[in-house]
Parts: sequence; structure tokens; C-alpha cells
Amino acid sequence: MVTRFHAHDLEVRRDEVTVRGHRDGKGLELHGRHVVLAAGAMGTPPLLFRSGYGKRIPGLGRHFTCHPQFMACARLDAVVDAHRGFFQSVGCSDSRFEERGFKFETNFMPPIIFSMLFGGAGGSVYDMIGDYRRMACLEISIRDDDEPGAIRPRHGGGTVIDRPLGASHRDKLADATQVVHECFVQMGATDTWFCPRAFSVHPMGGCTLGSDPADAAVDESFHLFGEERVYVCDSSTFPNAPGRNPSLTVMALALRASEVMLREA
Amino acid sequence: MRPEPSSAYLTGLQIRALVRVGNIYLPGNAEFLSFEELGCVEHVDGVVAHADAADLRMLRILLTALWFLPRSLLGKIVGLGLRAFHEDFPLAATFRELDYGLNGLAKTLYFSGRKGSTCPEPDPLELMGYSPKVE
Repeated sequence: MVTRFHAHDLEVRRDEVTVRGHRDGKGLELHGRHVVLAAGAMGTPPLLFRSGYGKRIPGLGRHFTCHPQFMACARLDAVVDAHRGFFQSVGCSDSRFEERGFKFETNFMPPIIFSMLFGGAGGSVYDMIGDYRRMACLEISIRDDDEPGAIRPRHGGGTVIDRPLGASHRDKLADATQVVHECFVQMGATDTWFCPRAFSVHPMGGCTLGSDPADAAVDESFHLFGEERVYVCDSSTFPNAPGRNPSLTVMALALRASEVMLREA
Repeated sequence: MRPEPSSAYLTGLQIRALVRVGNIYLPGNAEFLSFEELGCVEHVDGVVAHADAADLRMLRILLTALWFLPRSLLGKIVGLGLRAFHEDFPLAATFRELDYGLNGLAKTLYFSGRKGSTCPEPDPLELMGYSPKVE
């Protein structure tokens, strides 16, 4: 087991795969007969671009999706200490919201994120954080079925994610915002805020499963197109966004991929 | 006098620029210390050490450039970064990126629960009553 290893790129030779990277500031190469890439939608496509696959597989980087997420918060009269207790202990399973293309989560924000999303700059920061213990939050997660985005290398290093909000996202957000506002009013909120900053903790796609290298990057056996020694198994393989948290689907794909690998061993 | 914080990633000038920007986001009030008074910039390496190499390179360039700007212009830049999330205007996407970089760094340090080695005052998390517990 090699921990704290930062993989940079890989090279496939006739009988082995070399992964180059660094560990504690020192260059390191790892060798194996096969490699399984599982660096996620933010990690796997950039690694493959750095390895020179951008031209060989035109579909690499395409179909990036992410469930755009937005935070809303409300100030209440009473101290609610929403940051205490079990994280995500309350969910909303009302299928009517899912049918309308959004869902809610009770993810309260630690002070860093709270102040960044809602605080602004100057005196307004202290107005918000001074009442931190009276704040309730709801996170809106939008189903990402608009035209997909892309992930690609940035000139000069780094990565660019091109995922603009489309009309479908905005319509769902407006609908969800109205529902959240009604919830907050029912709770007796004295003030409500809707943060315009979209974010996401569900990056998906960019190295998608498919049959055409022009549109995908991984075949149905989880091989990178044209590379029998390289498997990909993480959320980057999602051909589209499932509309719900991706962890369980990643686990199901891992189970399926492991069966394929054992069969091919 | 507060000792000059040292960093393996940023120069003294870049740290001073970060403190100037941090004071615009977090100027302090009767209850809370300002970004500079808290001294949290001492811990900047703990944050930037995890940054992507290209992002860190851009941060260095940005902070160096910001050091030479007057405070009034810095305030306008910070304001544009925040405005860019509410309305569209030329270079709005660039200002949004700039806000994520500067706002994120300043507030990560300020609300990290860490303060300067010579700061005797309570840190912002204590003042907010932030005490995440599972009971």
C-alpha cells in the first residue's frame, strides 16, 4: 500500500502500466500489469488528459454533469444550533419534488462555508455569523438533465470545468426556491436568504461508459478505449446524471467492474 | 509589534497583500477581531499546501499585483467579485473566480479555529458558539 501518492499521468507499455507521480515532494513511479483509475470525475479525466489521451479519445472530457446545488438559510427567533447532532439526519422523500426535478437536504454549513456563501464582505459578515446559532439551512439539489458540460485541461496547467446553468436548471431552481421559502415561512423565519452561488459535490462524467470513442471514453467492460490494461471505475463513467446522490451507483459499478476484472484475469 | 508570518509558499509581500484583502472581507467589529488582528494568516501554509500547482501560481501573481493597488481599488475589486454572483457584466466570470480564491482563502483562515501565536482574544468560532457535537 502506497499512501499520500499523487498520481500525475500514466504510460501503457506492452506488458505493464507505469503510473508517474510524487509522494512527499519526491517523484515516484509505480508499475503493474493493470491499473484501475478511481480518482473521480475531477481526477480521472485530468489524469488521462495529462497522459496524452485527449487526441486519441475525442469523447474524453465530455458529458460532465454535477447536480447544481444551492443553499438557502433562514433566521429564526429561537436558537436551533443546526450545526449540532448527526449530519444529514433528516431527509425529504416526497416524490413530488423529485418529479419536479429537485430534492432537498439538511446540510448545515460550517462557519467557513456559511460566511463565504452568505456573508459577503465587511459588516454584513458579522450580521450573519453573529446569529449563526439561530440559522436554519436547506440545500437545494437540481437534477442535471440540461445539455451536459465538459472538463478539459487549462492552458498553463490545471483543469477547466465548463458547466453553465441552463434554462432547465433555472426553472427547477425557481420552483424549488418557492417551496423552500414557504417552508421557512411556516417555520416562523424572520429573514430568508438564497445564495446565488451554485456549487456541487456530485461531479460526474467526463470519462463516460459508451460504445463510441467520439462520445465516450470507456467501453462496457470498463476499459479505457484501446487500452486493455487500463480500467476506469468511478463517477466519471456516468453517461448522465442520475438525479440523486451518486455514491450507491459508484459502489454498484465497482461491484460490476470487479466481476469483469476477475473474469478477464 | 506582531511578528511577520513566514510561509514556504508565499513571499512577505504576498502575505501582506493577503492581510490587506482579508481586512476588507473581515474588518472586525466590537465583538470580533479583524482578519489582521486575529493573526490567522500565520497558518496560511496549512491551506495553500493543498492547492493545485497552477492555482497556487496564479494566487502568487494575483497577490503580488494586489499589493500595489490602493485600498479603495482593492475594495472595488472585492465588491465586483461579490456582485458577479448576482448580475452579469463583462469579466463577471473572472471576478467570480477571483472571489472564490480570495474570499475562500480569507474566510478559511479566519474561521479555521486557529489564530496568531500572540493573539490573546477568543477566536471567531468561540464567539459564535460553534460547537459541533454528536450527543
